[in-house]
Amino acid sequence: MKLEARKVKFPTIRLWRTGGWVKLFYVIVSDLFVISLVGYLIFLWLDRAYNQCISNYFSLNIILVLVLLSGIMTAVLRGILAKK
Amino acid sequence: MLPSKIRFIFRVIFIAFFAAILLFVLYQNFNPFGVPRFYNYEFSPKINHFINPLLPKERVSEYYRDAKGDWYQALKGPLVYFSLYPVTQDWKLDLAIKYKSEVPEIRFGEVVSAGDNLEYKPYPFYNAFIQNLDWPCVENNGVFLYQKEKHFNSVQEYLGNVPLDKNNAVYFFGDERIKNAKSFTHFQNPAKEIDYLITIYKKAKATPDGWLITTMHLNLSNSFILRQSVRYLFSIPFFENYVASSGELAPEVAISSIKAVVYEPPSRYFLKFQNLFRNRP
Repeated sequence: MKLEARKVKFPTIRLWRTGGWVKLFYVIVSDLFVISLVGYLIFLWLDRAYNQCISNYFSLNIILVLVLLSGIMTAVLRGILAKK
Repeated sequence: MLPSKIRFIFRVIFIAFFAAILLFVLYQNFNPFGVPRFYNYEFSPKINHFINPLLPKERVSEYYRDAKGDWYQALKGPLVYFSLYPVTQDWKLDLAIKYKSEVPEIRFGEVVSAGDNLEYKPYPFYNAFIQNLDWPCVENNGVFLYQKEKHFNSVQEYLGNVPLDKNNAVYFFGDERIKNAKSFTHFQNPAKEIDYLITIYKKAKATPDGWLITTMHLNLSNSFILRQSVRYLFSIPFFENYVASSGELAPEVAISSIKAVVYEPPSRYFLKFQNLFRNRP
C-alpha cells in the first residue's frame, strides 16, 4: 500500500524519467492553440458584428500572434514526438 | 501532480485569460460605473480609436515633429474636419486642443447636417486680437466683457446700463440691450475704435513652449450624431480667398494634440443599485 501511495505522490519524477514532459507540453500547447483559435474567431465575429467593440479597446493581433505561435509549436512538438 | 490535472489547470488558465479579455472589453464598452475616459490624439501616425484623423487629406499636411519632439499637423484649407467615434447622445465631452496660429481667426464648428450641403454651428476658437488684448476684463457665466477703461464690475451691470454713446463691439454675442452693437470685425482699427467688447470667446491658455490650449465643454444631447459619429470642424476664414504669391510662405495653423475627456452616465442598473443604499435611513 505504501509503495502505491508513493507512485501516486511523485508521478512528476516518473514523467521526467520517461520523457513524458514533451508529451505534456505538447498537450498543453495544443490546448492553447485550440482555445486561442476558438477565442480569436469569436472575438473576430463580435468585432465585425458590433462596430469594432473589441478592437477599440484590445488589439486582436495579440491573440492572432498567440494562435500562430501555439500552432507552430504544436506542429513542431508533433514532429518531435513522431520521430521518437 | 497528475499530468491530467496539470493539463486541466492550464486549460482553466487559458479559458480564464480569454474570459478576462471578454469582461474587460464588455466593461470598456458599457462603462457601467460611468468612469470618465481619457483620450489623447497627438497627431502622430499612431491611430487613436476615438478621435479620428483630420480630413480632407488635401487640406492638411503630413505629420511633422518639431525640435522639442511634439508631433503636429498643419491646416491648409478653410474647412478641416475631424470626428469622434463611437459616441452617444447622453455623453458630455471636454476637449482640449493644443495649437499654434498665425491667422487672425479660427472658428470651431459642430457639423449639423449630412451630405453635400454643409451646415455647422460655429463657436469662437481663436481670435488673435482678443487673445493679445490686455484690457481689463470681467466675466460672468461664460460671457467676457473687455473695457478699454474699466467702468463696470460685472457683465450684468454693463447690460443693464449700456453706454450707447460709446463704441460697443460684439463677437459671438447678441443682446437687444446693446442697441448700437457692431460686430467686432466691422472696425478697421479695433484697438483704437472700440470702447467695450463683449464676447463668449475665452482666451486660450499659452504654454511655455509657445503652444496655445483652448478647452471646450460639449454636450452631445443636441448634437447631430450619424452612425455613432459626431463631426467637428476648424473653419479658417483667412484661407477662403487666400492665394500665396510666389516665394511667400502661407501663414501656418498647426494642431499638436486633441485631448478628450468623455463623461458617460452610469448604467441605470448601477444607479438603481446605488439608490438602494442612498434611500436607506
